[in-house]
Amino acid sequence: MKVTFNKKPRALALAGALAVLLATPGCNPTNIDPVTDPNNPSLESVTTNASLAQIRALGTGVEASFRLGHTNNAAYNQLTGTFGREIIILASNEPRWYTEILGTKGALDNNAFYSVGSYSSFARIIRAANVFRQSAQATTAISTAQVQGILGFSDTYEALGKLHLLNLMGENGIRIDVSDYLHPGKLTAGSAPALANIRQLLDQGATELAAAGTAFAFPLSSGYAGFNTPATFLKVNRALAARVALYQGDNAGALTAITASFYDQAGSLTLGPKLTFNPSIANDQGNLYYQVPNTGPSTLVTVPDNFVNEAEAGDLRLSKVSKRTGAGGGGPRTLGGITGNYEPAVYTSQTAPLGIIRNEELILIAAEAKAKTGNLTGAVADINAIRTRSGGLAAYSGTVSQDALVNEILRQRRYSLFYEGQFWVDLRRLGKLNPTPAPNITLAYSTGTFKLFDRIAVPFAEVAWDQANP
Amino acid sequence: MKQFSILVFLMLTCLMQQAFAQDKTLSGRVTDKASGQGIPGVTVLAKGTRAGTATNANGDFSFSAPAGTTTLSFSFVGYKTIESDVTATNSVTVALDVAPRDLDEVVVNGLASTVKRSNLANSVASVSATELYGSTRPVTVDAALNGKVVGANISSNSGAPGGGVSVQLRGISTITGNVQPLYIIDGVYAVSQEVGNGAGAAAFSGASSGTGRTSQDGGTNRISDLNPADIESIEILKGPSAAAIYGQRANAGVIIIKTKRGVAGQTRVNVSQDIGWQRIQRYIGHSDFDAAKVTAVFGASSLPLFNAAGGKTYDYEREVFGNTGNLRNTNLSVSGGNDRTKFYVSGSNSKENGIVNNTDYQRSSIRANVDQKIGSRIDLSLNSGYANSSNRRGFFGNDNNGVSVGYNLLSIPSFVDLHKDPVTGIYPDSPYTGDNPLAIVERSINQETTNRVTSASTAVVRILEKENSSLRATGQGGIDFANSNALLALPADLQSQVSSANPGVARVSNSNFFNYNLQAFLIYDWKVGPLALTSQVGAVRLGLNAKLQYSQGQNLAPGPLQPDRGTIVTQQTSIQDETDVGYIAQQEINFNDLVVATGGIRFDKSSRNGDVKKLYAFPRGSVAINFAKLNGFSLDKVNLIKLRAAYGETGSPAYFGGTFSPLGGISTGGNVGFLPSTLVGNPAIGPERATELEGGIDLGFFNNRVTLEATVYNKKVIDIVQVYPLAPGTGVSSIRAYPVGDLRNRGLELTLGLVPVQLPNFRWTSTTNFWLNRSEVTRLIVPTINLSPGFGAGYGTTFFALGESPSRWYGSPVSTTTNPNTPSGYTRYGEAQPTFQMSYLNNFTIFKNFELSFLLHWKENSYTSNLTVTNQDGFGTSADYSQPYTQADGTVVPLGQARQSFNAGYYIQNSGYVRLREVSLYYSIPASIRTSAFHDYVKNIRVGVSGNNLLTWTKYKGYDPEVSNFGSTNTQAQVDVVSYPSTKRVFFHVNLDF
Repeated sequence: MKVTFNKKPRALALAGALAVLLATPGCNPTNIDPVTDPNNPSLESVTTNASLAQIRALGTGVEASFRLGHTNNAAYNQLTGTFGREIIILASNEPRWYTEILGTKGALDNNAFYSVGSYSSFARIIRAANVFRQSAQATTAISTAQVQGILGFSDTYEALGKLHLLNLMGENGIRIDVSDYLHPGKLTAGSAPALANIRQLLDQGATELAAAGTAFAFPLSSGYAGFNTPATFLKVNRALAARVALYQGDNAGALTAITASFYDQAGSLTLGPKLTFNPSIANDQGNLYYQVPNTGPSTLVTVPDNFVNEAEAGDLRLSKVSKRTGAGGGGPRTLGGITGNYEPAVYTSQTAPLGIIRNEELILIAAEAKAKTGNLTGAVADINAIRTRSGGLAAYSGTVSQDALVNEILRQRRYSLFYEGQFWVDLRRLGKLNPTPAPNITLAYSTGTFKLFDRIAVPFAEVAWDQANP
Repeated sequence: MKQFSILVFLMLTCLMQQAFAQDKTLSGRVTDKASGQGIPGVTVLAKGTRAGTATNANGDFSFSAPAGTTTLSFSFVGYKTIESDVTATNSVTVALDVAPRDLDEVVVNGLASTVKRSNLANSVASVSATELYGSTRPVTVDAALNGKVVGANISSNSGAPGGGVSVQLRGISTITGNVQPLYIIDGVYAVSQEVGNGAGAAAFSGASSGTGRTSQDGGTNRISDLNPADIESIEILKGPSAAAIYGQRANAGVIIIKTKRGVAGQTRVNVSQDIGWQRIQRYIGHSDFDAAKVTAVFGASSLPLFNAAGGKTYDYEREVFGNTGNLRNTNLSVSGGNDRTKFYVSGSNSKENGIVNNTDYQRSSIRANVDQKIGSRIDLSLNSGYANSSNRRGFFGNDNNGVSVGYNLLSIPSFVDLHKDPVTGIYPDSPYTGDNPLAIVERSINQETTNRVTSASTAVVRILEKENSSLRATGQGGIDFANSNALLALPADLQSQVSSANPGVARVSNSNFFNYNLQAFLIYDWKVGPLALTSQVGAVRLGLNAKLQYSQGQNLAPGPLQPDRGTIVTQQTSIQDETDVGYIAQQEINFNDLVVATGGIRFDKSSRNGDVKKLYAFPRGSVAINFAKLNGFSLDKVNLIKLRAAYGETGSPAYFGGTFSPLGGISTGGNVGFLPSTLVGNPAIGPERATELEGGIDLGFFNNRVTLEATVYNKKVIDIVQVYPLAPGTGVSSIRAYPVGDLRNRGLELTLGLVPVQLPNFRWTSTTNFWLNRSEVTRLIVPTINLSPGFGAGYGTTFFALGESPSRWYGSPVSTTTNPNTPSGYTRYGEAQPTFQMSYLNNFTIFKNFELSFLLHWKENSYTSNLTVTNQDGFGTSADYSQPYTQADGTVVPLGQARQSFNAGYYIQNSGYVRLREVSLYYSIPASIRTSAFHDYVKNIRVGVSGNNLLTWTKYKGYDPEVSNFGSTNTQAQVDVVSYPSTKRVFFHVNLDF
């Protein structure tokens, strides 16, 4: 039918056209399109039906997340190193490093950078592992064995994260039931239940890894060379179990775990999985513990003189520190009455890797577990492996008793694991966190106006949460 | 059809000629009653007709009016409107009286309508061009408002050239939303974000451990791009009861800026030139050393260095901050037009040199505002401005790398020689800090250039015009595009870089902001008996897009400082995209100006809400009763008794990204990875909502020579959106946006206007403002939130805690008596919000030609976390370091040493002040002298001298009690980490009208 518009319908048609135009999405000025995150993928995109590429990315995320505790502004080895007086940070613009953290103000601030930096970072491992676990169980992109591999890997990393949190918190305890972030469990009563939970996670991970087939569904970095299959990663899991067992006082359990780990009395002392650093790659970072020698940075890490003075003559491990020389900012620095003559030289470049757990520690764990289970000869053999191979020292010639050997092991741990986040934890678990823990070991800046802390303050947000959710 | 149009046109033309033929020419002069000088720009209207004009530069006017014209009305901002009978004459001379509080000026009442101030039911602060910029020349527009707006808490964040100002209206409106008010410039929703460029990032000053933009970059906000000389007036809608028409963008209040427009009449050319200087307000000072003090502070190992100096000392503070910075402003404007076309065109150039070498600010701007009438029914106007501004700000504030100048400069002992070798030009290392501040001043780069275009077009179509009803449609579109480009660099051979693993850093950062707004309204004015009604409906759409990028290179090869030349290149892109749509309906009822009632509602939706389609309603209602308009009201000393009450609601959607739970990028060993963020989104989030009930009384006596405006308000932010802090041991620190509770702000605002003396040769006008605000969290459904404004409890921190003000300071030591209710248990200290503020503005006109004015501003008891002496004590350089201090155990130690163990109570300092903010004296050269020198070429010559921040009385121990290391913060609980010292400024002014 032929239609001829007269004037009125023409206006109506125009109005109609306008209405149609307005109703068309994109043209209608009253429409708002939902905005998806233009900068990042969403969590929801991986929690169900994750693709293989997403699974791989989540795995890398879990591995990389361990780095965060070591690259924040109160990095783990620096904070625990300061608490254990391995290092003193003479930061010209952050006096709290050499005042508050050394106890000059009595108590620690529960919301300062040092109370939240490492703490919150290590908690992210747990979260990343949880998301990885959940995603792996809700996708068809991987095989059943590969799911087991992811569960074993995630459990091991969750244990690693919790162990670092617990090391910071000590007898404050930690929250072990954290998978539902809206309904987390309470802080454990002291460290023992937390250690039991960590141990259980590691054991569960071991079972899962044993059922994980021959390869993981996700890549591990070159830091895991030699430990990147379910079978070899299991050795890492057992090494961590040995550390936890020792902390628990389960010396027999430690020895059992040691045998399933990569412990090798004659093997390379640095053998073990590593955290790698590369500042040139996007979203990776450099090793923050590296300090350019003999320069005057604002945040200067120094080593108290007693670390050098209390060493046995000729200990090769003194190469882990160097005397500061040079004019201008390169020489000794004094702040707050503390003079730093030495600086750490453990990490020699910003790409120097950080051992996650290494053979030298396993030998020392073996020595201690043996000493405490009455195998003094075995303990001396392990001690001597460290003394000769790591320190270039003569074999142990002191008293062979459990107490004497534990003191000797502590002294070896001080030098072998210097600036690796261990000494403060060792002093605490051995009940020796005091100004004079053992023969030939003193803790600098621990008396008078200074004070030793055996834990961080429970972070403010944890306190506030518990107060609001009794 | 065509023929018909032509016919109508011809008829119209005919009619118009007819009209012209019957006109009479009216002329005359309008003068200021006090000074006798002509007032340019006065609107002259033939009452009851549409004919009118404006006076020229001498105050003269002449125009054609319909023959039946009997009355002319003369009106001008700042003066009382008067009427004059011209039945029997064609020439009149009238003298206008200054209105102390201008009751006839119109203020915004809707997005497309206005109301006379005398009928207004809200307390709306207006600042005229004269008040804003007529005295002296503050750094930026927002700085120029300081002390002039009752109810506003304005503070400058830094004394660096180009400023950095934060504005808070009626207390704390939001914690996570737009902390700063919404700025509307000629209808354009302006970009007002304060965006950092990375100067505080890990690779530069390291104030933050973050790598991108940080809150410690010392940014400027984009309002600094606006040339104050172009501003005609500023209106400030302080709370939701006035700002409800702006809906969900208006929680923090609205600042409406109108730029100057042309007036019909002779073309006016105005040239003004300001020349001045700025100098530091005051020095912190230092103390020198002797051998014993060197040993005590730095150890015996420092004695050789001390001895080598041979007693020679240096005052680095005076060396670096003791310079005089030159200031210059040049403005040129041309305006004029006829009854159909009006224009205002201006150009300006400002240059400010900082008191620190190699710091400066410059701005060039042009503006063109054109109004055009098309036929009798259509008015078009176009406002557009372009500004190019650039600054060099250096590195100041908090620092962890030794780069920041202020913080490190104060630490350096006076016996250390940091001057460069005169032969090699090489700066020595600083032995006690991370870098040599003299080298940083000379060699570091922190420069930023901004190009910005703001443009708005408005069309008004009068659809219907009858005696008792008129209908008009308005449409408006505006854009604001700002691009900032920054270069930051530290050469590889600086001390802080040599000690870095990756020496040398250069960063180029680029910020693009694009805002657009579209609005359409229908406004219907009608009369029913004694009632005048205005009805309006409309719709608004806003879009905000931002793209922030940077590229940074570290470990730089020698040569130009450019990011590509490093081995470690990092970059980041961050995109924001927001859209809001709103619908508005409003009804105003005016009963003979006796009772004026307004009711309205706005419905808003936003892409930032969890549900983008959901409309949220924001109602408003107000009523004002003018008792002085009552029939038979005959108290002849009383001109105004108005009672008013207003209620309104505004909103603020969660910030961009509040609904997202992102997986961040992370990699190790070259593998790409995802890491769940510590923040999770809340897909159900809606806007927070502020409700405000305001009541007040306005009084005028003795021909309004005495006016009083008193207002009280109760502003409640309901479902305030804040991060919901979780137990961080779960790996999730917080839900990004959560309605955590309610916050209440209550306050009082008083304005007393006086004309104490009004004589032919002496006139004194005075305005006294008094205001205060109290904030309190009245409901909280999540754990107490530490707002972490600064550096931990040792120096002061604040909490979002039930029953407490979010800007109340807490700090060490733990005290169970003063603060048993918050998880921290810290001692409760002072409040960052002042107890009250008062300002006292006075103008004197003496012998007609001299104008003297001053503005005193009093801020009582506002507390700031001050870290200025922290480093000085650590390095033994504080001026009072060696004063004896008796400790609790009876031992006497140097004060500077003892202070290092002091609790937060020492660092939380009273930053209240009394400040002579502005003072000026102007002289208008008498016409006789002027004409003998320039004949009639120059119409007006005005010269003057003025000062800004010349005197400050305060007990605060820092460079300036107005300071913020973190820029504009949510609560204005400020932290001082030795920002760029603020300055006092002196200007000489010359102003010529042609």
